[in-house]
Amino acid sequence: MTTTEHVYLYGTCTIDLFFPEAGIDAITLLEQYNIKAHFPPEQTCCGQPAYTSGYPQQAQQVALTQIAAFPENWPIVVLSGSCAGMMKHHYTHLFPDNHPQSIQAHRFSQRIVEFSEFLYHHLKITLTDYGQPVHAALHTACSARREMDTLQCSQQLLSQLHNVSVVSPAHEEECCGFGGTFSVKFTEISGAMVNDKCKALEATNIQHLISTDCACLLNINGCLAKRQKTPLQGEHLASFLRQRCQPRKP
Amino acid sequence: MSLENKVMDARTKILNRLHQAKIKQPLYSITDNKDKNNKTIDKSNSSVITNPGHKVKLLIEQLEKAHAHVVLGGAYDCQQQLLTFLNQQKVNCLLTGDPIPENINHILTTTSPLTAPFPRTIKPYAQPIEQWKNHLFDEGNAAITNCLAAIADTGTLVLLPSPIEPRTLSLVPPIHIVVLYTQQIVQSFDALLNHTCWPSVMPSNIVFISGPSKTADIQQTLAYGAHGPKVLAVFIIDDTKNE
Amino acid sequence: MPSSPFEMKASSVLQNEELQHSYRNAMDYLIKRRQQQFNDPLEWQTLRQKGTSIKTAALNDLPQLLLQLEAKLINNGIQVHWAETPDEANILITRLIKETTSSNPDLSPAPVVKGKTMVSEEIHLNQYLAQQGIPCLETDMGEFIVQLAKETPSHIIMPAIHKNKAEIAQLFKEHISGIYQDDVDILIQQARQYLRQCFENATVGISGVNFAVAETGTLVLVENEGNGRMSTTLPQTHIALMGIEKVIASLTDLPPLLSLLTRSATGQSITTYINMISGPRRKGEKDGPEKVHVILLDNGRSKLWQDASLRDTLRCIRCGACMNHCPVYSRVGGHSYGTTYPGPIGKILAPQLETQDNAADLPFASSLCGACGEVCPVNIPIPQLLLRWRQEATQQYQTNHCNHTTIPQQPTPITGLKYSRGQHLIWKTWSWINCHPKLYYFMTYLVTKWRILLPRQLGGWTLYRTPPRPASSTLHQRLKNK
Repeated sequence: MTTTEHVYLYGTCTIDLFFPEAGIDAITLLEQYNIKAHFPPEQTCCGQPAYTSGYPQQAQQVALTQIAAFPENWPIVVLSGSCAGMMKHHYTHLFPDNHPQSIQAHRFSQRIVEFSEFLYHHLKITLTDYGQPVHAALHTACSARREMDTLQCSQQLLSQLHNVSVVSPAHEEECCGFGGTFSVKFTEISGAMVNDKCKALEATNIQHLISTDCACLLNINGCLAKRQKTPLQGEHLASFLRQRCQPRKP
Repeated sequence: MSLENKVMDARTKILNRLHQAKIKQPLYSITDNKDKNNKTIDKSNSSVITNPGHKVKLLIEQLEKAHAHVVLGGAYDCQQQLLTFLNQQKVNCLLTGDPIPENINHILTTTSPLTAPFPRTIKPYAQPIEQWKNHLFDEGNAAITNCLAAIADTGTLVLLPSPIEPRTLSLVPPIHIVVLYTQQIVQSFDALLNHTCWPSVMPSNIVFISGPSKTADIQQTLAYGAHGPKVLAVFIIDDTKNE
Repeated sequence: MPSSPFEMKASSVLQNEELQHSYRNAMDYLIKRRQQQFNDPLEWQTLRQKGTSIKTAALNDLPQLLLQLEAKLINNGIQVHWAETPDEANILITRLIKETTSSNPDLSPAPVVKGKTMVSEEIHLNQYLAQQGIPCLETDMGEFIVQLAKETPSHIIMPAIHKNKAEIAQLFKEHISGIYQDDVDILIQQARQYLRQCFENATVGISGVNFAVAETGTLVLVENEGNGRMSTTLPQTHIALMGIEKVIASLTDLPPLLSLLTRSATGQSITTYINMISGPRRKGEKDGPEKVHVILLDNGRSKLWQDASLRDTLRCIRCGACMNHCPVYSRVGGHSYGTTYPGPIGKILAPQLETQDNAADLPFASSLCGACGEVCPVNIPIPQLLLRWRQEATQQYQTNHCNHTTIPQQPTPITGLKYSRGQHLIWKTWSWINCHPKLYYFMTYLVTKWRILLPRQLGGWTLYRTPPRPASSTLHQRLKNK
């Protein structure tokens, strides 16, 4: 009998408010692999919006709340590359060596693992594809690509799905233009970036847009819907995998 | 305050500011750039020994990629090809160093079974540029020089301007012809340093030439002959071959 | 509505389809060229770390290296001058030009010829010389085009990247040939002939310096066209202008740095010409300048150097890779920034070097995608430095953020960055909510319950997107009810 492993799930505030099904799908998917994902209700925001806006003091206060919400020494599986990047790499900037909580923060950071990375590297899962043949594109948040280096994890997971053909849209590696408050402060530049991203997606023949970052999806989905050229709406990797890898009822 | 005092002041102020903070940033540990034996995977600093034939091949490949005209052969063969080249390019007036280097003189004056109408005149760079601009800018269609060495890795000719072959000889005329011997070819810049007395004695000017002049400043469209020579022709004399 | 100078300029570029097309093509070209050079990740990382170490070591020893460089240059017969400010540099250069021209009263006055140097743009040299009645002619093709158009360079490597062939053909028709034709080869030959006359008669040539080798007192200049060699060889006086951060220790430092520069900038393994100047014309030589002057320019660099994290900025070798890969630059173009150096490197230099109001905007005008930091050949942590400037603007930069310094850092005096009380209040409130999980739960519960009441127009967001629609219940609620 396989022992149950315990992990924490960090949902992210974007998923909390806009894509809660992704959180449920992630927990359900993990359960299939004997992973019990605990969701501490004391979790809120990782602090990134304040941090990237130049308010490290406020970010630090919020970070302390997150650190306190995950007391057990379990891995913290994060449903976003950019939130994972914040907690894994930037909390050390918020809590330098001479800070009283620096050791705690450091230990917390070491437990952070992004969702696709957890599935691929830690669980080393094998996926079985029960779905129909489809074309899909993978959008990776910039920090997943550059900070967390987890792009290849999502790519490898999708490559296991034999009926999913992954397509690369033009300028795939370019930012979608969200950048947190950037999209609000520099709306025209952000708008140009997300429109270009959508144009590139529309030019492919994909039926699915998958991402490990729902903040990007909030941005891209909103623009796709505004443009009305395609009914395509992106979803979190957890939702896509759960849907594809669920055996069909006879 | 006089300008001299103000300028002196600038030096003092700048250096004082730099002397105040004694921060040393950590270096990356992967390489020590002073260690010449360090075999890093570095295309620009290859210390891997390759055979001479490979070096020549690489040099030619790189030069041709950069749009240079390259000929490899024995001395006689190169000489014939050079005369053919001068005819094809219709070089009226060929500029050379002064006195004409012995090897170039030999190449240009040895008779050929074919009558060669070009070059019609050969002008050695006999005077300081101030008295020679007319020949350099208006009359000279091409110039022929030796070079110190060639670097295979990057397809580069190393020229050492001198009283005999001045800087502008390889710069102003629209065609630059270089005579090179296979034994002058080194693998890399580091290998070149091992063969010279640099850095302890530096010449006033060293020029590294890796192709004809070019630019892509107009809509990223490549065009040759922006300011320097439009044509670079390299005659590599394989001095291991017997005549 | 765009409000700042940056936003307004950016807006007009964003709405110009032709410019968008020009920029996209140009950036794609440069990105592809660089990618072809660095297709081996291990080789790239090794070379990059080598280059970073070389520059870091040189900056660690900056005062000693500058003194060594000065001594060696003087020993080689090169005259060395120091300038703290743009004004000082301009006054010096004017004096040196006048010394040359006044010593040759018989020669008809010819314009000063200039090779490509971004440092001269920094000090607004051309404008200053024009005010002194000294015409200064740009000789790099891109700079020449931009000068004819009475504009400034929009990219540090390809100054006329924003101009298409037709626009350039029109410029040449007006200023050079009188005939419109847009064959690129012919355009280049026209410029060549025109500038050749200027080279032939020029008495003063000005250039920048890519690297200055302290060990040997050598100025290293790279180029593809040959105008740099022309400008530094033909005139009797050569004035080389360089930022103090350009000094490197030894000759053997050059190959990796040159490799990083040329491959990152234009995707070339080497440029057509590398010119190493270690002195003026020597006895017996028939050409070369009789006088060579080097001006060591500070202009805020020593202040940057004093700060352990801002010092990283001085590693910059001016390759332009950061701006080529920047999704913001590739859409708004170089002129929108209103700074000498555009793009990501410009954003982190601007608060220190520039005094315009839009320096305030620039560190925020980034999605922090990290593409710039990823391609920087000398590992400048540009996104981190952008964050640093943002924290300076909010007055929250703390001295203990620099983990590798042992001395306290004073916040660097910066120009243009503004503190906003309103913003501060917003983030304080946000923090309060997120530090109180029950309050957060309640607020998010309200958002889901009242989602129908949320406004359809949400400022700039909804110009390009449908309004974000909260779910019927939050993840917190769903798991609580499970």
